[in-house]
Amino acid sequence: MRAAAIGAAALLLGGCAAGALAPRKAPDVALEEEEKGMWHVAAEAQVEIDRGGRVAADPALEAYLASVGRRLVPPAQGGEAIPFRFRALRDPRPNAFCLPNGAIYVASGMLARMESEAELAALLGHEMAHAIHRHALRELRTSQNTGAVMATLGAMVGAGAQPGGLIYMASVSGYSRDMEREADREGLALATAAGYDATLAPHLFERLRDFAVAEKLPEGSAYFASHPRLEERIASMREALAGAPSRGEAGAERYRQQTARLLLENARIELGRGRLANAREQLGRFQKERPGDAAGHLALGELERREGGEGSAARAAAAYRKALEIEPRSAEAWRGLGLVLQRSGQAEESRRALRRYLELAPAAPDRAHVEAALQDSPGGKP
Amino acid sequence: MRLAIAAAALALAACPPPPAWMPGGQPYLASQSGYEALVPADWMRRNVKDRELYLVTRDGLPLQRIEVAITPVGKPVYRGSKRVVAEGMSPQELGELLADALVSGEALAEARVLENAPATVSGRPGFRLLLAFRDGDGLPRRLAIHGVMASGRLYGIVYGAPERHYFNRDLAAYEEVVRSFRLTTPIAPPPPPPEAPATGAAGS
Repeated sequence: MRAAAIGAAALLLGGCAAGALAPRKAPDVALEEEEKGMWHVAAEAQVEIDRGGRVAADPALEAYLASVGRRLVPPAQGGEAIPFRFRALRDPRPNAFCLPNGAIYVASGMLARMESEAELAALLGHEMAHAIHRHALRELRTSQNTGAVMATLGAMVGAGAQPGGLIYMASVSGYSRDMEREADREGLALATAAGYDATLAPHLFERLRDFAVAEKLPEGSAYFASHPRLEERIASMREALAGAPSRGEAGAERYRQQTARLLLENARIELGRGRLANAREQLGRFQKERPGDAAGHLALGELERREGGEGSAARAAAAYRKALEIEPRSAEAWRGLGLVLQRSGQAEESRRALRRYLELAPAAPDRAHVEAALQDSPGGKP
Repeated sequence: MRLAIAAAALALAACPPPPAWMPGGQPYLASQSGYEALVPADWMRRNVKDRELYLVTRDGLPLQRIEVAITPVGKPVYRGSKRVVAEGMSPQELGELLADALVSGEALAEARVLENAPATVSGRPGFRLLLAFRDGDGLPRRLAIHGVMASGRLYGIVYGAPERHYFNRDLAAYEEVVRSFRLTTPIAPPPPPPEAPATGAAGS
């Protein structure tokens, strides 16, 4: 089925000229034959991404993303020409992409790097512009290397398992410079028309540039634009925005509220991967937004415990205790507290905390380790 | 001289390439890396020229695989993770380090830790980690890892198989491999850190 769709699209490519394509702003704009193949492949890629275990199970967040999308391209103004659908992915890399059929995915690492709804609007506008202006089809038609493009299209099918192929073509920086510039301009125009302060949009790209520098991404990196290319886009964006009014809405508070849970989740992923500075910065923002949330204090305790070094045990213990003040039955917080006290030689208190952990989580995966630690500690019995 | 070269060329031409898979039923000694482990009877070991590799399967790598992965101290448990294996880490901490990297990493979807327990590996205190996850096709799979620190490296004996039917069926063979695992003194310097463990969804 997939192979047939790709094969059909490949055959059709042979006879296609890179003529002008009308933007897809009304439902009566017919799909070109090879476009039908692309939509078919995109639908299959979508199924694979959705079942790949990376989609954030957060209906409220999806509804929020969709509401921003609808504000940018209301159904009556062309929004119904493409069935846009928005989902967040649990992926700490700052990326977003739009499949040709309007399925838009935004990585938690991208959402975690934004600070306002206006930035989100510019990003979603950019992604929607790729679909409206049929960039995937234009890319196929203008490519000098049909084989490579078809290989990419084929790789899209495996997107859930290996996002490389898909993201290479559809990511925030995957199309040709001209198309990316067009999507940037269109994204800014959509955001401005929807009443957002589009002058905030370059901040996102500045943070992406910082990411590219920190990660030492090479020129032509497959997933993200390189540092020079991002600089170029920031400059062209600022040029497009020159003289633009900054009277629009930022929506910063609403954005923080709606994305707080995902920010915490992304910080936890960063923590697991050992990117402690990123995790700390994101946790700091989460705690500022939700100071009374035990999960934030617990995650901070976990970060301090893993980081080690001078004073980290005390900071970890303080964070776990704060989590327990809010949620006294948090087994994970008792565990962390017990482990950190054990490390700092506070045997009696550590034993008490670890015993409480096992009471609250009798089927804990590390029960045997904890029981052994209790047995080994001075005067200890499990 | 010419004769010698011609004879050598003829001899070379007559040498068949080494088989890609070797039959099991006997121990495999990785003297450079510093370990020995049994290849279960009826299983096959992947044979790679000029490289020590313990990678075994019975029905094919997507269906079950046991391999030995080595991470030197000071290196991350796999590329993509920033936290490193450190000297003096307890087995519980090592298990947690590995679990953190796997659960948050890209290779395994919906991964969760079922067990991080103490274990004895080659007579030394180590850990046993058990994880459940889904592969790229959405198939539920399990991963068991026994780990132990020695000679400045973390040795991991990794077993992966689909949860349904295969994992439990071949668990006994894996446990036999773990029991047979014996550390020796490594000759070679530590290797680069391993890639993320294969999900088994594709053979190599």
